[in-house]
Amino acid sequence: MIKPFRTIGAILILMLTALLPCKAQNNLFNIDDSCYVIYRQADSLLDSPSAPNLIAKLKSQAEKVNDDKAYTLAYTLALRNAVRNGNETEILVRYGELKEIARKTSYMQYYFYAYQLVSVYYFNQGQRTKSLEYSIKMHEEAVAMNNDYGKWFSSKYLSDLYLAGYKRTSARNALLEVVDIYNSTKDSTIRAQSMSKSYVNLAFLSGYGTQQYLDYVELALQTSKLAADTLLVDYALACRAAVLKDNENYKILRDKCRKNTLFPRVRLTGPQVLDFTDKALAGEWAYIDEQLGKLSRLEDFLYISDLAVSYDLMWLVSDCYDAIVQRLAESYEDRLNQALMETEVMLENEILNKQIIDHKNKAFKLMLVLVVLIVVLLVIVGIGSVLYVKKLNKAKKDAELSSRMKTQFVQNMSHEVRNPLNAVVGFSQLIAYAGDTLSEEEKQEYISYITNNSSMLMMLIDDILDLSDIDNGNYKLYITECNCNEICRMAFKTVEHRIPFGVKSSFVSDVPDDLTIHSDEKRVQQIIINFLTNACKNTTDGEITLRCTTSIKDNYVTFAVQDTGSGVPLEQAEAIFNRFSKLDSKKQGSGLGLNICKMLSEKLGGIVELDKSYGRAANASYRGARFYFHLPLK
Amino acid sequence: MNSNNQPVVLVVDDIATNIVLIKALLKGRNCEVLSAQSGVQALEIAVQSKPDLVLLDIMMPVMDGYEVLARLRSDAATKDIKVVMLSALAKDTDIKKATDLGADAYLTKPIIAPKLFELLDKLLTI
Repeated sequence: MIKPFRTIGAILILMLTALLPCKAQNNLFNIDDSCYVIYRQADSLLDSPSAPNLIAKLKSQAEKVNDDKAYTLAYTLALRNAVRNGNETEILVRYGELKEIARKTSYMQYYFYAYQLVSVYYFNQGQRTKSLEYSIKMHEEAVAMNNDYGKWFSSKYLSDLYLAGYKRTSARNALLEVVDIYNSTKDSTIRAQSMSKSYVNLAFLSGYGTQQYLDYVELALQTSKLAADTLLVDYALACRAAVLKDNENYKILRDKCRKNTLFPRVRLTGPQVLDFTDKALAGEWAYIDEQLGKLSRLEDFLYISDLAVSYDLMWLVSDCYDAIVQRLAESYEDRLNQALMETEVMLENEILNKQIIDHKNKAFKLMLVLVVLIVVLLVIVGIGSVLYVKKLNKAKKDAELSSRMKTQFVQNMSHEVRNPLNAVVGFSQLIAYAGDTLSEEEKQEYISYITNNSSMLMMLIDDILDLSDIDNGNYKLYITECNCNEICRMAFKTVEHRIPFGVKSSFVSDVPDDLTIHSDEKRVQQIIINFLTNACKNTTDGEITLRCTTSIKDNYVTFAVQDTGSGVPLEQAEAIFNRFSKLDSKKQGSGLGLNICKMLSEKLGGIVELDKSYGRAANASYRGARFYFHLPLK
Repeated sequence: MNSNNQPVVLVVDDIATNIVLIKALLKGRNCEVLSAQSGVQALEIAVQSKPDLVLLDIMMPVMDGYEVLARLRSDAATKDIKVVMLSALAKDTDIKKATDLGADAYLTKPIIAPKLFELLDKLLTI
């Protein structure tokens, strides 16, 4: 691995600090002295636990003395501290903060410095592509802003990166841009900077024996600002002297460099290069060849190569270029691996992101489905509950109604049974106790009361049993040829004795006396009797009429029973046929009669109905009810 | 009491047979028997004839026996008439209701003749 710029961060920081104008010897940044003291403290304690407090203190002091530059510098310290700590997330946060503050305070040099710090961080992490991306981005922003300092600073930094990456042409172009900006700018900050290093680097890339090399070194000398600059120029001249075999001059310059304690800091690989040169002058080329691997910088390889050319050692030149090619290959391999690794990471990230998105989508869909299911479930449960409650309420109402109707039925039954029973028991007692004093006529009259009421009791019991049979499906019909008028006459005779005092009764027939139907004679008669009995109960005066006719409904014979009684309210026209239904609960009746009529008629294929128009005309001279029982003729 | 100094009994029932039966049972007893087939008719006769005792059915259309009893008790002219309920209703609640309204006695159908005679003897001191 090539590690040419491991200390590039430290050097650049030094460079930056050196580039900044001074107010006083001990205040390189020309900031408030109170801030500078804190800055120095924080700077020396970076990476220590007290660093964040000192940085915060510097911010506070800078605000207090209203020193924007010191305030911005506090953010550079925060970023540098993060870089030292190596936490990428924190680095990127501090990087963003520094850029923002630098923009606000208009100290834009720190804006670009933020890029450089992050780029150096990635470079030292071996992530060269990313490092280069940040530096190129810095340059692009500077160009976009047309900020000379940014352009100059970023080009200078880019040239270092290119040199470290053995990109000779790119490094040269970057350096030429640095020179161009320097020569064309009116920015005093840039003009105050040293260009020695840039010119020396240009010289190194131009060939150690060329005139251009000398010209660049001359320019380096002209633009030098510090002792370090002249030292670098001396080193460059020493190298050139060695290549030109000017050994005496070389030795003078070499010694000059070696004596200067700054030399290793100004040119890190300088001492090693000078050692190699000494070996070369001593003819120990094999040693140099063996130790070529220790060199790391492109300029140093080029130097040894030029030196070998001077001494016609083409094999060494070849080895140098082999080494360069190998380093380039390694560099490319590094970059390739880096790129591959970054690609893999990127792909992994993409896959991970995709998986996360997929999972999120799935989770969202699942949530959605769950929510929908829950809502549907709630709606179903809600509707179900409402329906269930409604059903329960209906069942409750039905049960209550059924209970009330049964209570009513029992009460009715008591009445319906006890009244005929009263006659049977009562008249039986009369005959028993006073039989001797009774006339024969009286006895016969009382016996007929007993017989009739016994029949009524029997009918009631039959009604209950009939309904029970119908409900249980045990009801049997005996279909025969029945004579319609005969059925009517028999029914009329059955209820004759129940017709109230003062109420006229009649049977009228419109049909031929031989008209017959196929039906159950007994059941047809039962329906007509029930109609007539019903009329007897509700009529206190007027007339009860039974009529047999075929003129009311086509293809049907109709048995119509009409009375002049209390009538049926229109709204009760259907309900009157329901079981236990009674218009007046105080009236006699079990509430079964009309229901039995309806059930029986259905069994016989007939229809029972109340004539809704009967007795309702405004000028009607009568009121009452008329019930129809229609049976098909054939 | 009628002009013959006989107690007057009013039988109220919407079923004619029951009236015939009561009349037959009371025939030979020293009392005059009047009858009504509805509550309204019973009240009219009660006011006009001032019977000593009313044998009153409960389940009748239009105006039931309870209402007839209540009206008899609320009218100064009839409030002292003895009233015996004679009904097919035989539940305790029916009997209590009639007693609360001021009935003197309660008989259930079918009528047991000796019980009826005993009660009439007691209430009318026939």
